[in-house]
Amino acid sequence: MILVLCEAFDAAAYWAASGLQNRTGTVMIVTANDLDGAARWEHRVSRTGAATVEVTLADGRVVSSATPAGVLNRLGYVPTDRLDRLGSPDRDYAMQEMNALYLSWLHGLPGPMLNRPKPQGLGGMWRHPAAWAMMAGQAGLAIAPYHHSCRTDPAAAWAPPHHASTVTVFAVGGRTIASSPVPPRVRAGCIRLAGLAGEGLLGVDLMEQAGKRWVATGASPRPDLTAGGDALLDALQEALTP
Amino acid sequence: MILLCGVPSERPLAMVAAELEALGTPYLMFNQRTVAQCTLAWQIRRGTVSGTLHLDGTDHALPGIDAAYVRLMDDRVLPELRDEPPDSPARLQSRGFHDALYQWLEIAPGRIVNRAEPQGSNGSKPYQAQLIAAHGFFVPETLITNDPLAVLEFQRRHGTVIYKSISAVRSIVHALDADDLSRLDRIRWCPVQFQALVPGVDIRVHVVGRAVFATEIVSDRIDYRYARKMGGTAELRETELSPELAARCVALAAELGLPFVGIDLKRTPDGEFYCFEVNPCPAFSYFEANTGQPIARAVAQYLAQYLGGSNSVTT
Repeated sequence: MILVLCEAFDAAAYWAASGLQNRTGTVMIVTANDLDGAARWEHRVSRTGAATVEVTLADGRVVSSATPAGVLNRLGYVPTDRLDRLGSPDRDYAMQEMNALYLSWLHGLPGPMLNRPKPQGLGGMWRHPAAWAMMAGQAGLAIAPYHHSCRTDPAAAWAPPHHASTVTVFAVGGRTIASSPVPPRVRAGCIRLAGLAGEGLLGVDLMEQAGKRWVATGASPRPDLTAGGDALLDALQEALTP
Repeated sequence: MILLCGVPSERPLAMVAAELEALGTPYLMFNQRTVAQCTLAWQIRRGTVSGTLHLDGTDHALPGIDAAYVRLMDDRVLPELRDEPPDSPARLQSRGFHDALYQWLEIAPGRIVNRAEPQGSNGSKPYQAQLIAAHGFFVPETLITNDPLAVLEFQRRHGTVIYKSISAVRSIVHALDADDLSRLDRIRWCPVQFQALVPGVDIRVHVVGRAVFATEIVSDRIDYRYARKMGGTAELRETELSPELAARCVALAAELGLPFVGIDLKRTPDGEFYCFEVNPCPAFSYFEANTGQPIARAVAQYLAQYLGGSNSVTT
């Protein structure tokens, strides 16, 4: 079975789920809202660190570590609809508690997962653009010069401008998929970047500049998958179904 | 050059600064309370970061900063900003400086004690427990649930049970008693973490690089950190770990990417060791004050070893 965890508005996850359903016939989509309304939680960690998970959703479906599944994990944030009914400061405390729970139970799911949860992101680690730029350079990719100062707006720094001519290369399980021709050495750099980032699935945004120079402009552990087409669905299926 | 970051009067920071002075090792101090006089700008080109930090009227080239000890407090609550509205120029300048500093510390090539990213595992106790157990430590039997019946079954199996935060917020340990059981239905609103009580003696292990300082704590309260506040006692004394256990602590800290940590262990009457958590920003001064263990000196030496970059490290 393939379990797709995503936000209710994640069109790319629904697209992937539909494609994987056509290929495997065994896809279960669970949205953040489904989890928010879960009727019962049971997450255990034994003294040797073995984790089990059983989340019973309101509609009776169960997410369980006892059911082998590959997981396409696109969760971004802990859902807050239910917690929003709590008054502050208990609401903020409950948010921290639920985020800590989500990180742990997701980590405790056995089987392949794209991407594994991190403290800085339930569906893969969110990194500051500066961290991506540094890491891309270390992976051998060309990068545009990055400047930061105490006059940089901290919020704006997280959202660099998107260029219309950007090409996304998807690095999945040691292979790359791109909607446009990208040189092999650049693709190899994308695979190295995914490895340095510790992500099984990474979308690397590239821009072709004059002189056939490809420059990395950003990366995401939760890219828009739709640009990857059938080739990406094939790669996801291979990575998620051992 | 070594950079210290925080409020200079804060005890751990002050102790490390004093030890650097005793070692004759020069250092820079970024005093958060004078952030209005500080600037920072940096850039990344071809995988290398460079830039300038302006402190106390002097420019310092970032590549010349080999190591840093970071004890930054939440800049939003700095006393100097207390009366500033949320979007005042002073607050925006402070936020901008701190953000530039935090982001630089994450990518700076030097020895940073500790970077922010690897500290994240401490924000989820059961997540960190899974990482800890992967290094050969026992961790407490844990149940997180919103089902009161599951809690009662857990209690029947394990006897004395404690409950505490899943996250690092409000993380105080309480024994599950009759009063708690009478309002157990409330957990239906938000899952709660329960653990089997592990009997034994608490041991705090500070790891600094490869140096290990173990402190035994004898307390009459479940959570020794709050023993005195709760009318109890907590006695601290130096102890020694077996070389094998000490090596495991060093390996755990290294694997988590944290050169300086406080590891909470418990030695059971059977001689087994359980690990409760790895504190990524230990306020070690309490332990040093009670035992005389030279933890601040070890931190200072760890930083000083990196002066001149990685090629100069001798131990």
